[in-house]
Amino acid sequence: MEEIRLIDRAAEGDRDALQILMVRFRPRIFSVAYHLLGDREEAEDLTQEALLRAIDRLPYFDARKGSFLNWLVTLTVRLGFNWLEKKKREGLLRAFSSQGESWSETADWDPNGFHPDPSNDYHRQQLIRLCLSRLPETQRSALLLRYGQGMSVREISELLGVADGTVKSWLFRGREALRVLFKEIGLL
Amino acid sequence: MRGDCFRFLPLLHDWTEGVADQEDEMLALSHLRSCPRCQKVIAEWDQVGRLINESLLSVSATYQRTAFGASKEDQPVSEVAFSLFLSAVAVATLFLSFGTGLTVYAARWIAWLTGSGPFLDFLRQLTRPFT
Repeated sequence: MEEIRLIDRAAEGDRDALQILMVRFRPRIFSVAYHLLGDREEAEDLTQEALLRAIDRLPYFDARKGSFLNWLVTLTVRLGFNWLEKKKREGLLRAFSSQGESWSETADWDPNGFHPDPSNDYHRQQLIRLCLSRLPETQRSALLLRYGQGMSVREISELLGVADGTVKSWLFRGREALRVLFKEIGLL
Repeated sequence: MRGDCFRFLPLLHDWTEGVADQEDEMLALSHLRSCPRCQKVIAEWDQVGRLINESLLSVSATYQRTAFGASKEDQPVSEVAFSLFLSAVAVATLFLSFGTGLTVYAARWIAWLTGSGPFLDFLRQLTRPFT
């Protein structure tokens, strides 16, 4: 209820309410953006863009259709998709589309000089993000929405504008690929 | 993994997501009951979901700490207890200083009015401007 009041106040132009909402949800939006794009600076930019877009569209938010967080994540993922498409067109996207490499070849550390330890929290988080970055963005975003946001298959299909069967397929392939990768590197 | 497991895995996945139709669900479950390997795969899928969520929450928490500083909600109980302890010490010190000052001042007045001797003479010298 408090959240709805804040949103209403923010939509009416209350700067304090807007500030509270942004501070509250920004970390979560950044996290989704970071997992989607795989780059901290780009994730920061996408977070900023998503939040600005959210401010513009705040009057259109309908609490009956879902939580505010899911609405924000929806905006972020849609913008993230556009972002990735743009990057692909510009030919700057490197690791995501590479085929046939092992996970360690796209690691952001030197695979020969450093051996991540899955029992170390920090290393484990790095490994999870690295494995996620190996998936196509469709599978990656479906997994983030399903297991990060707890959205249903139907909600994801509506959000991404694809059939339920497509989302089921993305989830299955993505989860199975991650299962194999996680086992390979000792996370499972 | 048995050869037919690969045929059942997508059905099992739909079942875990709660989106399998009735016929697929029956097929998947009858296979699952007799296949320990598929049971293991399902447990691992569950773990995969948890790891993804863990990663999202971890980045979110780290970002919150680095971008905004830890909020009170995120502060560990030990830190909250320590700051409360420091506040209590500060308040106690304040009261003690004030109390000690008041006591010394009162003692000087009493000595001035009632006592005698070199120390009390010294105290009288000190308090003279007030009389």
